Parts: sequence; C-alpha cells; structure tokens
Amino acid sequence: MMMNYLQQRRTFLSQSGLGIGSAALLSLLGKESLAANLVGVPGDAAGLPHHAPKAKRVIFLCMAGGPSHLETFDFKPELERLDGQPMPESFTKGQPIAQLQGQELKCLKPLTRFQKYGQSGQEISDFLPWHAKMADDICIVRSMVTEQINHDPAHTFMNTGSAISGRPSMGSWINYGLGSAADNLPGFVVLTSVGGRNPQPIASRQWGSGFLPSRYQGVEFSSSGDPVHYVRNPAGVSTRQQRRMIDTIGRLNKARNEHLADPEIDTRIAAYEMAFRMQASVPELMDVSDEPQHVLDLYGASPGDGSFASNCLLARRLAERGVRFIHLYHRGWDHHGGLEKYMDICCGLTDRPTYALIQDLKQRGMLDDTLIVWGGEFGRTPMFQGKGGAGRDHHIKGFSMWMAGGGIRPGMTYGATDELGYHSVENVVHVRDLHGTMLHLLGIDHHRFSFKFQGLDMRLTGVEPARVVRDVLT
Amino acid sequence: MSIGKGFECKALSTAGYYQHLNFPKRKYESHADARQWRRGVYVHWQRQFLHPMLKAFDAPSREECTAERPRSNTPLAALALLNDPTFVEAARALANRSLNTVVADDRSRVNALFQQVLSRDAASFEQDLLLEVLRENRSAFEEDPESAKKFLSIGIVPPSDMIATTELAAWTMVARVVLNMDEAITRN
Repeated sequence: MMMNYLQQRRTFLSQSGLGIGSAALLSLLGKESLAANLVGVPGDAAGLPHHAPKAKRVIFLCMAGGPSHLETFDFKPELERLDGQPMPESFTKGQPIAQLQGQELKCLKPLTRFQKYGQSGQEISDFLPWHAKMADDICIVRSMVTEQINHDPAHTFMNTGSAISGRPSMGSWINYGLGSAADNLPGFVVLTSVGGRNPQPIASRQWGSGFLPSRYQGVEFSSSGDPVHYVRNPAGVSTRQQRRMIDTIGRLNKARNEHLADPEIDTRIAAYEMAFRMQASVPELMDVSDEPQHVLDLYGASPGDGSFASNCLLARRLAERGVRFIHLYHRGWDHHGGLEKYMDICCGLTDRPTYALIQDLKQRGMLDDTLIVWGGEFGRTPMFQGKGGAGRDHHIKGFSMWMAGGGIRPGMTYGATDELGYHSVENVVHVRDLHGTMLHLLGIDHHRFSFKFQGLDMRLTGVEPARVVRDVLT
Repeated sequence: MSIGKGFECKALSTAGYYQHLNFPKRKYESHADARQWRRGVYVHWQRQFLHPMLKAFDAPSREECTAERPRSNTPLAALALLNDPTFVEAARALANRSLNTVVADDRSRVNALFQQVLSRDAASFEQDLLLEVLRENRSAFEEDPESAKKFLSIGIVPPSDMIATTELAAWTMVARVVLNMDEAITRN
C-alpha cells in the first residue's frame, strides 16, 4: 500500500515536477552548448499549442492607476459642449460609482486636443506625441469594459480574469501552457516604475501563480539595487567558490537520489543550477552598458534609474532572451485631480519609451512575433472630480487600450463608446475577450486551456462568454 | 539576548522592500537583535508584499484561508537558501558551534557537523567531498583574508575572535553545503 502510494506520488512528481530546470539539468550533465540555442523550459499543459501561433511572447505595459481614455485615444466633442453641465442621469443611473458617490455629477470636457495621425488617421491626443508617430503600428480598442471599480480588484481582474484573489495571473497561465524559451531566466518577469499622482500599491499576488505550480509565478526584477532578491553571492565569496559549492551540493544530492529516485531531488538539483545561472544572467541582463548610445537615447533611458524608459529597454532585452511574458507596471495614473499636470508627468515618462520599444522591436524583426498590450486596469469618468484641480474618477464601462505586434492588425481603431465616452456601445471588448484574443495569438484555444482545481476545470477566461476578437487580427 | 513571548521578527531584507506600498508610505526596518532568529511563524507578515524569503517558500498571503499550502522547489528558493543573509549567518553559527567542539581531526569534525544537521554519519565519499570544500576554501580565504572578514560580517552577531577568521570562513562554507542539501531542506 505504502509502496503503491510512493509510486503514484513519484509518477505524479515526475510528470509535474521537472518543468523548471530540465534544461538547466541538461547543462549540468555537460550539454552546456544547448543554452546558446535557447532550448528553454517546457510547460506542463499537454497538446499545446492548439494552432500555429502568431506571437511568441507578450509585453504587457500596464499603466497602473487607470489612464483617462478621454485624454488619450477617445475624443468626445459632445463632452466639450456639455462641460460643467450635469451629467445626464440616463447614463449614470444605477451605475457603480467609486469616489464620486453622493456627489453632483458634472461633465468635464476633454482637457486636451486630438488630431488624426498616420495613414490610418487614428485620433490621438496631444498628450501623446510619440504615440502619434506610431499611429500606423497600433490597434486602438476604444470599447473596453471591466468589472471592478477599485484598483486592486481591477488589477486582479485584468491579470486573472477574476476579482477573487488566488487565481493565476495570465503570465503564469501562458508559461504553464507554453513554457518559456529562456533557459537562464524565469519565463514571467515583472518590472515596475513610479511617477505621477499618488502611486497606488501593487500587490505581489498580481503576478502570482494561484493554483498553478508555483514555478510559474512571476519574478520581479528591480532595476535599482539588487535586480532579484539574493541574486548576488554573499559578500567575500567569489563566483568560483560559489560554483564549487553548488557543484558539491549537486553531487551530494545526486548521490542520495541514486537510491531514492525522487524526481523532487532532480528538480532541486536543476533549481540550484538555474539559481547559479541566474546569478550571472540576471546581472548581465540588467547591465545595459553594451547598448549603443543611440539605443539609450531612443528610449531616453539612464541605466539603473528604475524608470519606465529603462524598463522598456529591459523588456526588449528580456524578449531577446526568450522570456515568455514581460509585465511592466507604471504606477501614477490615478488622476482624481490635477489631471493635466499628472498626464504631462505620466505621458512624459512613458510616451517616448513606448514608442522606442515598438521601433526597436520592429528594427530587430521582433515586433512580428511579440504581442504588445498597453492599458490600465480601467479608464476614467466623463464626470468631473476635483481633488486638487480638475480630474476624473475610476470608470469601468468604457475605456481604451491598444495592442500591437504579433498577429494584430496595425493602424486601426476598434469599437466605440457613446457620445459622452461613458458606455462601450460598439464591438464591446471585455477583459475576458482580451485574454481570449491574447491566448489565441499565442496558439492557445482559451476554451480548451484549463487546469483542474477543486473539482473544476479552471480557465483564464472563466465560464462566462469570452470571444477572440477576430476583427483586430491580421 | 532575551526576548519575550509573542514578539514578531522583522527578518533581514534587501533595501526598498516596501517601495510598492502606499497609504501610508513606509520604510522596512529589520530587527537587529535576537528577534532575528525567531522561527518563521513569528516573521512579520506584510500581506500585500510578503517578505521575499517567505514568498520563495510559498507562504500564503493570509488574505484568505489556505487549505493546502503548495510546496515549490524553485531557483528563487535556492537563491534564498544560498544567499539570504539569514541563512549565511545560520551557516556561520553552525560552523562556530562545530569549531567549539573538541574532535580528533577535520574528518571527524565534518562528520560531527553532518550528524548535527542530518542525524546520521556522513558516508566516506560525502566526507571526502566536504573535506575538498574545506581545503579549497581554506586556501581561497588564506589568500584573501579581507574576503573572509567580509564574509563573516554578514548577519548581526560579530564573529567570534576566538577562532581564526580564515578557519571560521572555510567551515562556514562547509556548513552552507550541508544546510543546502536536499536532505537538510526537506524530509518529504
């Protein structure tokens, strides 16, 4: 009976426990040269991809706090006309409201001008002059909707498809499904930057793996100080000493495993080998001194400053190294007041680096198989809020995001909100649709991509309707 | 140093650990006294942003009930066990204790250290491997005594001045190896 249990346990472990470092393990066995070819780390899900992928990786640019669609990509002349007048109750009656609860709801005109750009003639605001230059590269979705009106649950919803915390983040899902092409870096990397109005906290569970194996959790790299916790040798210990130490640990573990045959010990050996490689590969990744000056200038990045610009450059370096899901958060878009001032700051920090990232990927031929997604956890109200000058409250019934790259039709605008920018009314795209579309581009049918948990076949897109937005695909 | 019951421990952490938090903004200060060595259950729990060591070992955020705690086996856990100052200091304490024991020779000391951690004798090939680690690190630290000093200054207790720096540093490396063996990390 006991033997039977052990057998089952080991079979289970051998099927589920070896993902992380089988590539690292190979190299431990002397096949080091494979690393140069990005052998990568396989995922756990069987039968993937379901179809030929258009995108190999995702760079998700999260504008945390919720940027205003009404001052970026969704021009509403009617709102200009009604500026200062009561917001028609037909729009707001019975709708969820965040901070404006119980207050008089008045229209606030767009606080900037819009122009048409590129051959496609996409409307982009004056806050985003660098986006204007890439109007023909991006697909603007003006008809997003989400279900959560406060920051933390809205991020949770955007990342996991559920407001209940504890579900896997999309980066974990995708690594679980497809593995990663990186064999000396984690497949899901998170970078954060700050700048703008009162940055909202970001909880580390936003990149959690939920019920999926924890090796698929996102790893936060810090662009100032130590890039990853404990990635440096202890003070006074040389790389050679550390290498020999890890070799010895590996040999002791291997010897023990010769009579235990426990796959968890193999995983341990591989994990230590990967840890040692990360001690070299992570600082190498973060050290941008090998980038030519014109590239640094393109992004406007000063190495080690922790800015969004530096993170965009690092995103490209991570993409080159085969990382599957790269998630950037820029905290500062919560513009309840002082919207013009803070839009200047946030756009000043993010507009140009975003352009640089797209151009840099394009020049390297990587935009074709990299999906870029830009957007916040929600948008902002057409109604005025005045926390220190004119601003806008949280808004979930209509907002804008954009996508670009692998498999996305460039230079188009999809969907629309009503005349005041309140409700998405045409070709509505729910967060679940965004997830379904993202998975589709990666070669995954979201209906068939599930993980058994608590007796249910859990999916990123859940059980409510979700569609692949085929109109935006090439 | 004595501590009362129920005191939390703010474990050592890297600078900027709290940078993602707000309302209010705050700075993490780790404890610099005996609270540092309290068991993990006493470690301060920052629910929105778990201590990186706790996170590496699958600690739940405690935002909701966790019926079953996952047990991962990842490079991040390996990095914590290898390089987290808390574990480096623990290895030094183990080496220090071992060097304060009277034994016949290095081989017996390796075995005693092994016994202390794993409750079994080291096989002769295991002793050989650890003696090799000892020899290499002795010579590395003898060549570069400044590095030995730096290495031993990790943690909050000043290194014992009763033991030669290079000797304690070399044995601390041996202790790191033993503490990082799979057999020492888990009984599962």
